[in-house]
Amino acid sequence: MDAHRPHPMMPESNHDEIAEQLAIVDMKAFMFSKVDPGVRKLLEKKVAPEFKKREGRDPRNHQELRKDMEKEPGYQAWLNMNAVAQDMMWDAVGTCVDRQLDDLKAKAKIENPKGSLRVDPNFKAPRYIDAQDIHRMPGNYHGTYGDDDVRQGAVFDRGAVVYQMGRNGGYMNDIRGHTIISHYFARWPDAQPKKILDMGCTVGHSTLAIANYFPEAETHAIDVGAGMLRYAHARAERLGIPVHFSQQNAECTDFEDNTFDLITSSAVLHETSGKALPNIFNECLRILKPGGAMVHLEVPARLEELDDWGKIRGDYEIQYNYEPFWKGALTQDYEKLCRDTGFKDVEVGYQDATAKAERGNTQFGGPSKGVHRSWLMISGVK
Amino acid sequence: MVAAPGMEDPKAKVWIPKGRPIPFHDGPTNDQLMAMVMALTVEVSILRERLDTHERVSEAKGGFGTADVEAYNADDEALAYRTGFRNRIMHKVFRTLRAEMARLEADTEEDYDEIMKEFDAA
Repeated sequence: MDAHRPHPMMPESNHDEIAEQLAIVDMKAFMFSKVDPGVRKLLEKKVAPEFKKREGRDPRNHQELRKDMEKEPGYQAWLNMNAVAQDMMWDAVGTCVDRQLDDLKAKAKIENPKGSLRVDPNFKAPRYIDAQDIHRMPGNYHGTYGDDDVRQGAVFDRGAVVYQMGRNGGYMNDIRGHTIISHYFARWPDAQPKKILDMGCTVGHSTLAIANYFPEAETHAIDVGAGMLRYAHARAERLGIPVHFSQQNAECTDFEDNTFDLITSSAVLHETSGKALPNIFNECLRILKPGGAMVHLEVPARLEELDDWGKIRGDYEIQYNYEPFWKGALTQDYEKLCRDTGFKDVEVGYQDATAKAERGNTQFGGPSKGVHRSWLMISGVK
Repeated sequence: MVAAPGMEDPKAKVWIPKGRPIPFHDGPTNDQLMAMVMALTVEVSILRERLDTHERVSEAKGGFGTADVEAYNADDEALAYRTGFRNRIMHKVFRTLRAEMARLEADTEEDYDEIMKEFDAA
């Protein structure tokens, strides 16, 4: 990573800020590669055997083991360090953004935009987003501080790029967007959508990659935060890619029936809820044209494939990384939900991650190669 | 002189995430000390990185100013070197945790049992 901004809206970081961000990234990597396996050993070599000896039986579920882990200083330290490292990351990025926020707000004022921005002063973010600051990001997706504010967009853009360590397409952070279209092209090699909607777009990381494959199409994008969307709009305009951003809830939009040829979302569904998910799929069905497709990308992990430590680690995500729907998303039967909603030709499977989607590719349907190498795709046709 | 981030505004607030706080299992002191140690680790990393830059720039130019440091871009070799010394800091500062893990791995109990039995009996 260097000090240059790849797009004019990206908050710049000076020498020491880059050092700080990289140090925190390395600390998180250290936690994951060196400390996590140690805590797994604590479970497997001490806590689980002691449980069995004490209770005279196997644990009924991972929660029983987790309760014993909670008494272990090693596990307590791990919980604390994970949260602290995450908080330090947001603090580093947040401080960097705050010192240049006036500059960013000025840069976000776009004359004669090719796309558009529509915010709703009466909009209320749904409770499953509002109740906690997801990923411990202070201000959450929808925090907005003034009519010209872009703070949360700037924080999320730089934070996500730093956190991903270049694995999702460097500063553009858009490999997931390319992968969505790669799946679309694997299933429908000749598709030429005229109207596209990206749901839960945040700052447009995936949105712009998607839009760029179809320069003649009209691309729309929705999310819940005005400040986030204002940043997204400025980012897209300064990159010369027209997108129509609006502040909406994917469960219930103001688009007309039968509007879109393609609806996408990129790692959004796992941050909704058990109740919201069917609403979102119903909404997709309503606003898709007959024959139109929806393509949702999700994290390639399934709860049933995780061992006890994997599940305990997942509990951390829920309780302290403020991802309340994590478990729900990893147990969701997406295929059934799509079919029950009324979608045809439903497919749920793994697509190879790619930086360039090719029409007619055969990169769908094999086993998962792991996070960042494969993504879980959920697609169907109206 | 480039101000460190956060120095400009003495009234700058600390942003905290909304959500259930991690319980202090052993009292706040240990958890907060850990957080301070982690922050100190990062501060040391930043300091070291700036020194590293001074050395490289000085070697290359034989005389330099702040603008040279700000304009400097680490190449692949420098990035790899920096990852190396960051790992060193992690290993040093969190050595106690690594020691705990190593204790779990090692089956040395039998080795010292006999000796300690004598000690306990004495």
